[in-house]
Amino acid sequence: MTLTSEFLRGLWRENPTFRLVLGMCPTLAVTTSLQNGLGMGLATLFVLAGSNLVISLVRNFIPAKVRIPCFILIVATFVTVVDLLMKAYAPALNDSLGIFIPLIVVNCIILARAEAFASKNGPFYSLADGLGMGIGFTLSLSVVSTIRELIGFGSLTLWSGLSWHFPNYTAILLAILPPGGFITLGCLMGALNRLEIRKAEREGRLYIPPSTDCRSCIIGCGIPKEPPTL
Amino acid sequence: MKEYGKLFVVLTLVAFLCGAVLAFTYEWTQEPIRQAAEARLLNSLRRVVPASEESPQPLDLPAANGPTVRFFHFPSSGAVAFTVRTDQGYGGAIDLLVGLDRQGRITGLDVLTHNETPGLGSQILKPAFIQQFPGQPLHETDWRLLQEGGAVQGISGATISSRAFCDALRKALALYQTYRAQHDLLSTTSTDTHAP
Repeated sequence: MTLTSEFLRGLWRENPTFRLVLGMCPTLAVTTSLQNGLGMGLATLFVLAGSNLVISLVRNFIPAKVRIPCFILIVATFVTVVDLLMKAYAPALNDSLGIFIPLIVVNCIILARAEAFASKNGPFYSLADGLGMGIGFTLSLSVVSTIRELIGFGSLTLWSGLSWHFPNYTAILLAILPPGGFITLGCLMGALNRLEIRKAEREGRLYIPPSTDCRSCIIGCGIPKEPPTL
Repeated sequence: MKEYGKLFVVLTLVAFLCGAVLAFTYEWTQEPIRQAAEARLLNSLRRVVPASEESPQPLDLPAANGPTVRFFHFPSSGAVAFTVRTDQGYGGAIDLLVGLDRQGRITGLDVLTHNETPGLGSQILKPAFIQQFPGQPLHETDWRLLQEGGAVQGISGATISSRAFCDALRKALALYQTYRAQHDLLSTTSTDTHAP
């Protein structure tokens, strides 16, 4: 376990969206344009890194029985503080990201990382884990929202000053409506699973998605982690 | 029993600390947030009344049915700007800042807050939609969608949001009439008279 490996884990091998299948609500709801997807990703990254750090610092003082309410309190406080600070000192940023900040409280990636990682590891590892997971989430949202915006609007907008349009493109509105979110996410996840299955076949092992694979789980539930057999 | 006591103490302590952090941050950010909101409003006022260099004068007038409305009055150009709220939006309320010149023609519109669907209803912010309004007289235009016999080009896929926008403009007309009635009354009694 090194800081680098903890950081890199969230980017691909345990990517929160495509591999752990966490945080589906924001993934489906806000990925209608690249600007929105990126904004939500960055806001989550910031809160995730911060809450992981704070929770790992106080983990030894909190009894196991009340840890969940304590974590929720800390996460919610963090989100509200970020919300207030952003309104006060970065109004321009708040105009584009503001609506996503309160939504972060209900993002289960935050609580999952607090419970599964930050409550068991030191502050540096927790910070690396939070940053890695956050960046992995941001990248996933960017990919989904790029595809949806390209198909649904025929444009790509990074922010209001920097945008690019397909000339003469008839937009397929379905892509930015709620069904488009499910279709895009499903196709991407299927393609990624296919890649992983191919890789596993070449190496002669059985493919188990990480969301159901006990070996990649760090919540100690007591069931022995047997390597699966063909 | 002793164990429960500890749980109780820890949870209370954590809640207290979180509350303290929140209270402190709230106190600390209240003033900057107010200033940011003021700067934002001034910025929006500049956008909806483009020609004016002077600073707007707030003028509180009671509306026909109920609360007072704050009008921003530009004395030398005769322009006026005010906020109007409709609750007919797809995601609830839409706050619209309306700028009008002396003749009651729209000089600019700015959506202050809205909660419309990103990508669909949120297109009411786009120039393609909002730039159709400047220059139109508020009191002589039929503020309904084209397909309903009015003069407003709606957004396909966002009919409810477009309709809410029309509703806001009809409300704006009612407010503007209130303003004219009371303001002309005020002007004639004061020294500032442009009537013969």
